[in-house]
Amino acid sequence: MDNNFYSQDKIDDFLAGKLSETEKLKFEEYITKDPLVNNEFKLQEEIVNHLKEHRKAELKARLDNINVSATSSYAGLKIAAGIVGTLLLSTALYFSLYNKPAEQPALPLQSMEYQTAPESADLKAPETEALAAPAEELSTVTHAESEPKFEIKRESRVARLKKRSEKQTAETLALSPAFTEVAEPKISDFESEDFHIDPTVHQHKGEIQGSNAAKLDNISVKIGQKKNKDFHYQFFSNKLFLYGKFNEKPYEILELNSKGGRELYLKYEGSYYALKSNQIDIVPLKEIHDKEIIRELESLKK
Amino acid sequence: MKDSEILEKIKKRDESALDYLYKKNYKMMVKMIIRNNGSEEEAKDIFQDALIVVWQKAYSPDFVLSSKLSTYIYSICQNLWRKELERKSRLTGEQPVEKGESYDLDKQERANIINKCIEDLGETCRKILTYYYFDNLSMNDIAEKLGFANADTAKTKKYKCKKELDNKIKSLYTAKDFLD
Repeated sequence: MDNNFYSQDKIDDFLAGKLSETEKLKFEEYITKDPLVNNEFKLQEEIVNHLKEHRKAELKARLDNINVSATSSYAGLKIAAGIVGTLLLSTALYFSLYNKPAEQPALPLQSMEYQTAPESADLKAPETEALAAPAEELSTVTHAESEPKFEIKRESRVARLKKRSEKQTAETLALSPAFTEVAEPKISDFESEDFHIDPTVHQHKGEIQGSNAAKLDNISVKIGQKKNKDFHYQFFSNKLFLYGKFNEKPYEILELNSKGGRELYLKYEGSYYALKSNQIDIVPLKEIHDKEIIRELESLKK
Repeated sequence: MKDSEILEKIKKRDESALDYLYKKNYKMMVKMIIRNNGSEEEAKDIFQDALIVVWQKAYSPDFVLSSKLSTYIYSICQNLWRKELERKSRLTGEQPVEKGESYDLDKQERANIINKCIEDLGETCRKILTYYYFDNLSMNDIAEKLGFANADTAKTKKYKCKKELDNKIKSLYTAKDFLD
C-alpha cells in the first residue's frame, strides 16, 4: 500500500475519532517518529477543525434566524382566550355593578382593597405554582411583593383555563395616587389627596399587579430618561422601564391573562402600545392598531 | 415534547430538535447570563454554543441524561459563561506578546486559505465533510440524508471531496509560500 495514502487514511480516521484506543496510541507514536507525517497530521487537523467550525457556524446561523421575540405560536390562542376572558369579566362586572347601590362611592372599594390585602398572601402560592416560573424569577416577585405599593389592578382571566371560580375573576381596582419618578412609592403616598378621585378616571401612573384573587407577579414601573430613547421601554428584572416624559402625562397599564401567558399594554394619550415582558433590550413603544385587541382593552376599561 | 423525544431527534440528527430547545429555553438562559453581567448578544452566543455542545454530546452512545434536559443546558450555559468571563478578565490584564506575532499571522493566513477553500467547495461536498467530521454521521446516515445509493457511494464521494479540498488548500498554500 502506498505509504502516503496509508498515512492519510489513518490521519483521517484519527481525526474523525474512528480509531480504537490501542490504534490511537499506535498512531500517536507513529506520527512523532516521522516529521513528514507529523506535518501532514497538523495540516489535516487544522482543516478538520475548520470544517467543524464551519458546521458549527451553520447551526448557529440557523438558530439566529429563529424568532424568539414572539413568545410562542399560541399568539392566536392568547387573543382568543383574552376575548373570552374579557367577556367573562364584563359579565362579572355587569352583575357586580348592577347589584350595588348606585350612590356607592369609589372610596369604599379602595378601602376594601387595603383591608383585604393580607388575604392575597394566601392566594399567592397556588397561583405561583400554576405559573411554574423559574426559581430566579420567583425570587424577584417575592421581593417586589414585600414592598408597599400603589397599584392599578386590572385583570381578565379565562375561568376554564384556571382552577378558580368565576367569582375570583372579578376585577379589582385600586388607584395609584402619586408616583415618584424612579424611586419606589412610599407608604405616606397613600395619604395623598389624589387617592380619593374617582376610580373610573384612568389618570394614574403606578404599578401593575394581579388581582387580589390571585396575584401573578408584580411589575414595578420605573420611569427614566435616556438619550435618543424617548418613548422607549424594556423589561428587566421583572421591572418595566419606561423611557420618556411619562411623569408629565398620565398613562395606564392594562393586563390580559390567558393560558398562553400575560399580555401587557400601555395606554398613553388615547393610544395603546404593546408591552412584551421578554423585551430585554430598549425598544421604541409600538402602537397597536389591531381593532380586536383595542376593542378588548376598551371594554376592559369600561 | 418530552426530553427523551428531543434526545431521540438529536440522535437522528434532526435539526428541528435544536430549534425547539432554542425557543423553549431562550428566555431562561439569556436572563441568567444578563444577570451575570452579560449582554443579550453574548447570552445568545453562549446559549447557542451550549446547544451545540448538547448536539455533540447527546449523539454519543454513552450519553446518559441524569437531570432534566433544561437543567443540563442551564449548567452548560453557566460553565461556558464562567469560562468566557475568565477569558475576558485575562484579556484585560494581559500585555500583548510580540514573540508569537509572526506565527499568529501565518496561522491566520492559513486559516483564511482553508476557510476560502471550504467555501469554494460544492454544497454536496461541504455537507458530506461537515456531516462526517462534525456531526459524526456514519456513511449509511450520510447516504440516507443526501440521497446517495448506499454507504459505499457516500464513502467514495467523501474521499473525493476531501482530496479536492486538500489539493486546493495545498496548492494555494504553496503558491503563497512561493510568493513570499
